[in-house]
Amino acid sequence: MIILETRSLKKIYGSGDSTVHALDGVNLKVENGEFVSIVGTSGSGKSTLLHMLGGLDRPTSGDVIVGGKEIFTLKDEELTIFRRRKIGFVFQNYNLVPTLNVYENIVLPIGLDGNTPDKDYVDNIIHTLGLKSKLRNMPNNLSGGQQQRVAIARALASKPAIILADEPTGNLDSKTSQDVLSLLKVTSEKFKQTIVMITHNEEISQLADRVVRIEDGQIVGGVSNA
Amino acid sequence: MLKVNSKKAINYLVKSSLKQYKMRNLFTIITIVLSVSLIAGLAFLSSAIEETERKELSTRQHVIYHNVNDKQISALKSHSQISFEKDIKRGQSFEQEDYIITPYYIEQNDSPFITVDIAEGRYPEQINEVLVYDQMLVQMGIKPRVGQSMSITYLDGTTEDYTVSGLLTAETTDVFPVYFSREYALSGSQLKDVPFDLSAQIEGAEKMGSEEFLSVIRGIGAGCGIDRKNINENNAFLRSLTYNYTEVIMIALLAFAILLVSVLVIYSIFYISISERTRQFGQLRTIGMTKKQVKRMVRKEGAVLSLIGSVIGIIIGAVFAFSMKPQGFSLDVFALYAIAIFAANFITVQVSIAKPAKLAASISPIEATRMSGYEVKNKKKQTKNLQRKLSPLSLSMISTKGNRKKSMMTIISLSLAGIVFMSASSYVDSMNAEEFSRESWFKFGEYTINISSNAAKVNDYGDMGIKANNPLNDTLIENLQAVDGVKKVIAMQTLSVNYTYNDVTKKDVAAPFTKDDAGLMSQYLKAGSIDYEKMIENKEIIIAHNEIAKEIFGWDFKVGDTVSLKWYNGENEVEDVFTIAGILQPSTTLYRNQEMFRLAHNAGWFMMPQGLLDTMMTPKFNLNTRIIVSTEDYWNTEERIEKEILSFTANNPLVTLSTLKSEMENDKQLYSVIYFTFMGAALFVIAFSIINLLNTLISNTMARKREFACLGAIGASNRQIKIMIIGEGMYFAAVNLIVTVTIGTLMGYALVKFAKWNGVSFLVYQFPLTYLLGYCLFVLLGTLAISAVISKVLSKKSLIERLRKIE
Repeated sequence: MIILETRSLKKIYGSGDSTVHALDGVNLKVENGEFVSIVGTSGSGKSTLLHMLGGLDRPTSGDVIVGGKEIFTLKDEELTIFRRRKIGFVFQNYNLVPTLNVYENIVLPIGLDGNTPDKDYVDNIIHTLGLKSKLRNMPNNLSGGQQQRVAIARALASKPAIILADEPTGNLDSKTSQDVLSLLKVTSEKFKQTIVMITHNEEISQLADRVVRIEDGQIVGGVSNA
Repeated sequence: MLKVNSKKAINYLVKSSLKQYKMRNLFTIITIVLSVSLIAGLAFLSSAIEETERKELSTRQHVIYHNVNDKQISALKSHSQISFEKDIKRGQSFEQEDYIITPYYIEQNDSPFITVDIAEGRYPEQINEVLVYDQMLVQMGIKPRVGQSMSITYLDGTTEDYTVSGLLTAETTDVFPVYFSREYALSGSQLKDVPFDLSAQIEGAEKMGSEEFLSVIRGIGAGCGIDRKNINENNAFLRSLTYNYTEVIMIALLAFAILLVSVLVIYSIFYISISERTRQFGQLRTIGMTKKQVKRMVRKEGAVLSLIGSVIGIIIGAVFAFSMKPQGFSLDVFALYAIAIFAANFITVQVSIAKPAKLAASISPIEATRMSGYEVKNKKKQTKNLQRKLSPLSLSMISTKGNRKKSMMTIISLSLAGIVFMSASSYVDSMNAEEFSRESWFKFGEYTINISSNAAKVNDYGDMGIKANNPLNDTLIENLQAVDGVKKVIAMQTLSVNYTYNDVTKKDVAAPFTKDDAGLMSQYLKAGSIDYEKMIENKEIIIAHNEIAKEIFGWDFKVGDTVSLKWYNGENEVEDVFTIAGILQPSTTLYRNQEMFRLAHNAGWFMMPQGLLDTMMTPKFNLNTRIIVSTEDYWNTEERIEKEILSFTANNPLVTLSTLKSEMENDKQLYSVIYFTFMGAALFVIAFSIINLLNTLISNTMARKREFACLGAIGASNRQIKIMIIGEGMYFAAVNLIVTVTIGTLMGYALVKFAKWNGVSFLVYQFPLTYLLGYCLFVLLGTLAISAVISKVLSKKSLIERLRKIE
């Protein structure tokens, strides 16, 4: 089943001579439960693509369909709620709320949606990511790798359709990067979680089921690792 | 170590950062401008008042040598230490139909004091010439013009004819000086037996200390053979020679409090600004900027801002102060104060940003480049509960508690503003025009009937002569008591005396006290004791206001000393010697008790037992000097009762009636000056506290825009974020209001009580409800508006932009 699809997605910045085609007709399909990495150099349009996929920014033209829903037909506020329910983010700099403890950070999106967390499910995530002993800690008392694991747990907790990971290991050393990536891989398999990760690092991208290459706003090739 | 001149590079960085962080600069400058203009306004106003007084004093004599003979006059006139002098004569006042005339001679020379402003004509030169008020001629039924002939009939029945050589104009009065020529002063009937007085200004006296000044004028007097008791220094001038430290200390304390608030505000503004710029500092460190250089850069930014703010603030303060007292401008004082304020403010700003600068310098290159920008330093390692409630509202609570240090700073800064606001508005609201006019005898009633001072002036025995057949008699008192609506009639007695003590012979007033009063008075004794019966037996007296004697004469009365009193006993002038049995505490202490005020305010230096006073007078002599009438319901009955009282007194020229209403009318201008001065200062303080509030709220929320962006990314809707921002604002508003209402009210109450205790007796504590409601409304609406605007501003920028800023 296709969970995520883009149709001739275009994003154009500026006008006239200074026009930049950040995305130039991207067509992409992601299967449910797939772990896809999007690789590109700086300025290739990979971040723009990720922002479009997550509904953080609107395209100039084209559609993004998540779970059969054309997300850009939604109004801003509806889009926010859609994002809250269907998409989990993992950022390069974690973006944890500094005044909340680890557990609170994890269940925050669920709380914002007015729901109570599925305790067993959240416990399972926490166990998988090895955060059991850190739940009451404040984020600034955690290492970078630990913080990123919290961010992953947070993204998983609301059972989103897709997790979008934006250079999730960009701030981590290579050993920790490996740990985090394998955790991503494990969770993807264990929770049948669809993950789209962008990175500029070829080596990292190889962990994914499939690698999509992007250059000058266009997809230039996909390799399946599976 | 290699020394490099990095000044240029740092200056460049400072310039660019000042250009970039306009919002922060604006807030900082507003804070500085407010505090500086407040301090400068106060300091300049106080200096301007002093300067105005000084300028006025330059047209006053420094000293008068009384009863001087020709030889003494010529010795004084040629004295090297006397810069200006004038000899004058003042004759005996006498009554003419319904006005009073006082004969004068004033020497005409270029001395700047005791000048006569002649409207038309010139000062008399011939023995038969006079200079008079046009109003007096009108009253005489003569056309007021120069060259007019007129005559005055004196008390002994003789009439003298004069020609008007000049005219003076004045507002309506019934006491007219008449100026005569020198020739008349020497041989004219009214002045030839009156000794000359010589008033003088002393060379360089303005720069002397008060002790030095006194010894100079006494030295001059002694050198010319003038007794100490005939040397009369100008007390206002003498006071101007001693520096008024209390005022300076008050201003310094106030300035300190204001600067303290600014420190908090500027600190938080810079703290936030530095946190936002972690990355920038990190980069600068990476490319080789030393910690010292980073510190210097931040300090320079502060210096530039404090320079701009100080200049604007000093200008505002100066314009405010000198527009109120244009006479009071003096370049020296202005420059001195401006520099002092400038320096104080510079130090304040540097103190405020010392910690943020240190923080900036401590950012390590690695930390800055690798980590995200805004890292809250959270001391708390773990929470107690696994999960707290996570609604938007409770999130805002968690966030304020999480940033405990910053929240505390915000709360302290807001609370200080609120407390200052409440204190200022309590004070202004407690000012009471009626109490202002009730400062003196109107404390005890609404009407006072006194022996006319004009009438007393023309009686050979003064007021005692009038009291010999006292119009303030029992019949009058009975009549007054019978008036409908009169609650109480209080009659007060005094005895006018001439006392001699420590070589000084002067007029003064002695007041009686009863055996019942003695108990109360003994609680207010500073020295000695009161034994009513023994005091009568041994002819003993009590001294009041001794501290004023010290101020005027440089000496004070001592227990056990004797004072010689001379008085009119109803038949003759008699003289006797009395012993000082006790000395009362200073007047400010006495006046905290209403009864003590009544007893002591009635007296000059001397208080004596009623029983002793009775033995000093002829039997049945009525010493009433003032009758105070208090009424049940003044404001509803004042017109009728005044009419009724006038029916007893209006036909008697020996008494005068004053009413609270007329007193308030007289005080209106003075009161409104005082009121608006306080109001102005209070409004300024209030503006300061309110802008401070806005300032804190805006900078506080702007600092957390990253956190809001991050929440937005994980799915918090704009509405939820708005609720968070408003919730946080409301939290601060609530704490602020609670502190304002509780501590602010207490402080306001304490301030009013303290001021009242220290003699500002026209304060009647009023809870400043209107001000408080206005403040509450402002704080709540202001917070709502700002929060709404901020969340709007935040939501306008796309999430990506906001998130990008983090990365």
